[in-house]
Amino acid sequence: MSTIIGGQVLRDMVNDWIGDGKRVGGPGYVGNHLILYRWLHRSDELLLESYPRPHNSIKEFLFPSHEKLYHYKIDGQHIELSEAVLPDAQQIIFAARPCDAASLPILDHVFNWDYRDVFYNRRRSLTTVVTLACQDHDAHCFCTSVGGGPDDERGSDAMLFALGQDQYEVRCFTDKGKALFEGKLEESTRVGKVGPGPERRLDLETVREFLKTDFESPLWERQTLRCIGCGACAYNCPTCHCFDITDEKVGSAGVRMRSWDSCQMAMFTVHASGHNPRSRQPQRQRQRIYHKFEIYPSKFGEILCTGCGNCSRVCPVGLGITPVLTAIQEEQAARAGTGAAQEAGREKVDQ
Amino acid sequence: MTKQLHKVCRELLESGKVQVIIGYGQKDRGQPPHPVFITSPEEVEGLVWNDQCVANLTTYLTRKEIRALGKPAIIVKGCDARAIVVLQRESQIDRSAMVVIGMACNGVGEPRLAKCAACDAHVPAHVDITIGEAVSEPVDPERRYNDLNVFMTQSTDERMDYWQDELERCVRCYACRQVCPLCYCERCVADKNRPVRFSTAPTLKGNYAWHITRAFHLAGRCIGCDECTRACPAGINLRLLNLSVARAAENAFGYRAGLDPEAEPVIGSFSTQDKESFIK
Amino acid sequence: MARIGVFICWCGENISRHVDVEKLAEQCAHLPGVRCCLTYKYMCSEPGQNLIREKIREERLNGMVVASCSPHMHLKTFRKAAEAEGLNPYLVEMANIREHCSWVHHDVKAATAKAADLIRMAVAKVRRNHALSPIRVPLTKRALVIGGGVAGIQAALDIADAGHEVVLVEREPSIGGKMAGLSETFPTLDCSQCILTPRMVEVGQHPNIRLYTYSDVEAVEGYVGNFSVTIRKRARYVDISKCTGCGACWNACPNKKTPSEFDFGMGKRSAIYVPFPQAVPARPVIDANACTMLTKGKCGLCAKKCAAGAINFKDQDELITEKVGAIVVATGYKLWDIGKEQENAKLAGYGEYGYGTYKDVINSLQFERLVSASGPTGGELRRPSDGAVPKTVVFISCVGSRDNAKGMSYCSKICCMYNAKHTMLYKHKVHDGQAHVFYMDIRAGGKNYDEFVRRAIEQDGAQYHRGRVSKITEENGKLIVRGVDTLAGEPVTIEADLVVLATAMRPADGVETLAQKLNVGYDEYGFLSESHPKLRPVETNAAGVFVCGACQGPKDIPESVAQASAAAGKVQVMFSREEITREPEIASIDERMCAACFTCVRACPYNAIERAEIRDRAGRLIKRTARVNPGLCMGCGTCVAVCPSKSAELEGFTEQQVYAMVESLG
Repeated sequence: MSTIIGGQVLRDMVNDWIGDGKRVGGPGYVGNHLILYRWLHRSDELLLESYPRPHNSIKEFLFPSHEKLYHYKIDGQHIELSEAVLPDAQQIIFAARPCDAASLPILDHVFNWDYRDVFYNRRRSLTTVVTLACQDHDAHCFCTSVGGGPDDERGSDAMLFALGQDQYEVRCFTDKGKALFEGKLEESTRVGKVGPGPERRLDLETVREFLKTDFESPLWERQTLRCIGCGACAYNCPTCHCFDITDEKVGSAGVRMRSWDSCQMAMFTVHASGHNPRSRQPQRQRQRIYHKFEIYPSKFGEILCTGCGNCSRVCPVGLGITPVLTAIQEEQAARAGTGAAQEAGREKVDQ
Repeated sequence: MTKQLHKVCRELLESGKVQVIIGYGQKDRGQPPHPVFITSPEEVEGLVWNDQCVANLTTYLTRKEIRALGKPAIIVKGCDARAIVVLQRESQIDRSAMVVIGMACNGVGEPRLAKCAACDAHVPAHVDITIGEAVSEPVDPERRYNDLNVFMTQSTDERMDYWQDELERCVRCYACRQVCPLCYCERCVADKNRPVRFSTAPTLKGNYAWHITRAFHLAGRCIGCDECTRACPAGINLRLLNLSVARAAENAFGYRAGLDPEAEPVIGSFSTQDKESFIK
Repeated sequence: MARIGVFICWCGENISRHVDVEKLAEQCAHLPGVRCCLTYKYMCSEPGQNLIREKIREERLNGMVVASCSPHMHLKTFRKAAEAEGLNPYLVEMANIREHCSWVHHDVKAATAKAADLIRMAVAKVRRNHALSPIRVPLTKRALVIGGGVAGIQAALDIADAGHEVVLVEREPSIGGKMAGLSETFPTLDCSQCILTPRMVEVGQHPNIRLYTYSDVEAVEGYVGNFSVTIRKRARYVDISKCTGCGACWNACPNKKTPSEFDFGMGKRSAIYVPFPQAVPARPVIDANACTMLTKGKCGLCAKKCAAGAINFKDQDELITEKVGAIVVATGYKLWDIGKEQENAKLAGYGEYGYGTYKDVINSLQFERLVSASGPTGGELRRPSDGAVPKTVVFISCVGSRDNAKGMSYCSKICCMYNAKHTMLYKHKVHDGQAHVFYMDIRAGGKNYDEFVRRAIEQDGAQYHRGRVSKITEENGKLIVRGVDTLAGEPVTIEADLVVLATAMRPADGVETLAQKLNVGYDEYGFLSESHPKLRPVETNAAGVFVCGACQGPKDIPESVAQASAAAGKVQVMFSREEITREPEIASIDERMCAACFTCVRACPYNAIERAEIRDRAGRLIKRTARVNPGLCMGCGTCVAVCPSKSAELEGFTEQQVYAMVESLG
């Protein structure tokens, strides 16, 4: 037994939500070729099929690229502070990909483990996430290598499965998901398809072993020299969450802002003294891999990667996580020396 | 052409004339070629040349990690080669301490990049070695600035709406800046904080300030490689901004960046022939 | 921790009339960083300065704002007061609440509020001032004077008499300039050469003056106190150390047909020549274009006749480098050429007067040579066409001057006086002659000048017609001059034997190229620009370069001489110290941030920025950077504007200061 829904009903629901003053975020075209997650104004902007995934992530609906923290006004010796207005409109993230939704449990933890981030939490509490199971993938996707998959349920309140002819099976996982689709679903026996997902190509254990022992390996220089040090990968990554805090003022009044920051930028670790412990690009690239695959997992048991592939998709010079991890894997294989070791590696992965 | 490229590069490395080849590699045939840095003759076979070699490698000539590799040979297309002329004029590179290998090119990208439709440099100029043959024809300014001219037929309001939509998407990843061969400042004015010149947060106001400032700083310097447009993950049409300042430089001073190694840069120099019609 | 003192001046009632200074003091006492805030009637007075000094001491101030008049008035005063009390003088700012406030606003409430804003900005600024020291630059106590006319001669003598070496460069074969070619000078009718030649001889013999004639300034490098000048000594083909000036050569020279430059074409000279008998040096040069030996390899008579063996047909130009600390430009003037061909598109010729077509239409310098005792006619006034003595001479004023249509809207200053002089010289030579002067105004502002003009009219019978001449034509050997007398209200037609045009004074040829070598500005006519028309008439904006004489603007001999002594005086002030001190409010470049694109080097109008390298102890290159030469920078801020990474800043006007000032206004 399953529950299904028609594409037009979905679009009408989206229109109703927008009409009710709720915010709906989902994939839409920018220009002729580029698909990005954006706040939708009309349901016909929504895309439901025939593309691998948008080039950005849904984190911007919960952790936007810039956010006001509080306002201040200086009047002589007196400083007046006022809280930023937190959003209160319900948000539905619609037609996200499983690899995007899978980042939410990670971000939930990041923004709550030692300090409860009131901004993230407010948005999170207002948000319902409806994912769309993947039918295709492209050469950049690698969710299956990091414990995910085309129908990974982590982070989703409900998931849509394409049935063809603009019909979708709906599976609701949480109360929020159920409440969203209340009264809209039809009973059915049809079960939606799921694409096979990308072939597993990375063995994280192998990678982690390398990371534990090879901090100074020449591999870092060799593999990452072409990185130009922008923030494209970090800003489009579902799990990257670093931010910078700046004060922006005009005259004597201003606002404290939080904006995204990228560890690949040259000034990310500049100290007030002027010293920069990561002054070279390979050091910064290395740090990114370590943070995601060794340091964070060591502390919190999860890797900071859902295998969405956006990093290499958007990288202007064809870098991103996968080329580096692939190189590490090959290095490890070469060290093991024999094909048998590679076989063993593959067996381990299959288990 | 690839065979000849390999031969040339192998000779350069073996003879010790250069220590690194900055070129294109394509380890994964399913992915477009990407920049590689070849330091030993054995690795030369990894170099490729095809019509997907879109990146402008000249941006690496001013990166310290690449300079540390030693004397370079660099592979350029006609558009890329112009950056080398500008970098030389601005004292960023020592032209005599590098080998420039120019590849004849009839356009790159899938689909073909917009810049290729108005290309007048199918054979790169001011290079040391040329590989391949092609015919370069001059392009009249109408065609060169066609995309801009078409855009400018819209009303002011329409264009303002357009730019508001475009720049709202900017998240200040600075991919445009990092990929540009002519954005080589030690500390970009966008990162200056004593005082803060403009908002570093990606507010609409800050994004306008950033993109307009960058366009102005490229006036008379942008060579039109369009790497910024390609690199932008948000698909912002930066090409139009750069075309407009390039057109201004060409209309007012007859100047196009990167064509003449002896020409004085248009910002910072004057000629007694300059129009003075703005003095009333 | 900022400890700023604010001192508000009443300026008598200049400020207090419209600005409530006591209320202002109360408000400003609470500004962030202000330790004390008080008012006084006359802050610039001695008790006022003592008050400031007392407060600096008591409150241990580390910055101060004086809210009073314009910094042009008393910034130096207050800086000295601060310095006397141990506070760095560059930690002093002024808020102009007089010229910018009380003198232009009359609403007390609004003016007081504005004054508060001005003080608030100045406090925000001074909190970010850096303590600076004047820049000290070494000094070569030698001067270069370019141009050997009366101004150059005077300047050279003054500096040389003060005990400093002078290099005097003159492009003609002899010094003396235009004054050496004049007949008599107004208002005394002194013989021009008689009063000038003693000076010329003094220059030629002065132990401190190194004279280069027939030479040009080829290149100037360096900066104030440390110039390196390349001088091109053109080939004379005569070795002046051997030559005795006997004249055998120029008497022997068969080519005597070249128009004489000294006579402005009124006479001829030989190919080997001395421009005039009293020349200094009194040694000939060979005109390479006229000499058949040099052009065709034939003749050589002069060499054969020369007893001293001083002729050298193989002579070459010589380049000489001189190191000097100051440069005085005295390149003088020329008369405007009114033919059709003009030097630039803004000028238009004067075809109406037939100059160049009719032989007997000449200009005033040509007239001077015709009446000069040493001139081509031996002092007898004979007209060029047929040598007849003219009985009717017409003098026309303002030919080109004060004329927008011809592209020169200025007055040439000397023509009214010399026209009067010319009528008198004419009358003194041709007793039955009649002089006519067509004029627009009479400008006779100097000492005894107006009296001189009256004398020409009342005693020497010159006829003055107030009006312009529309056209000159020739009929039967007479020049028909058609003009108008606006006072009589009638057209006037005169049949003249000779017409003398008082053509406009223009700067000498090549002055613009020279100015560019010196980084000195010039106006649209080519006259060199002084730093300030009233208060700094002989300095230029290029440090260490001074101007005097007609190159700066039309002027007569007494003014040229006065300016020359003034310029020499400035040079002597410079040379009175062992080093040069300059104001330190100049540009500085953050060498860590500089991207070494060197746009600033190109843009700097004073060539004050160098390309430098930063190397480590082992000599390895770390990076390149632009670096400001503190001896040359004039603090114009062009580099700050063009720098893309904003690594260039002006001391005293940093971005942080400017932003702080703007933001302090709320």
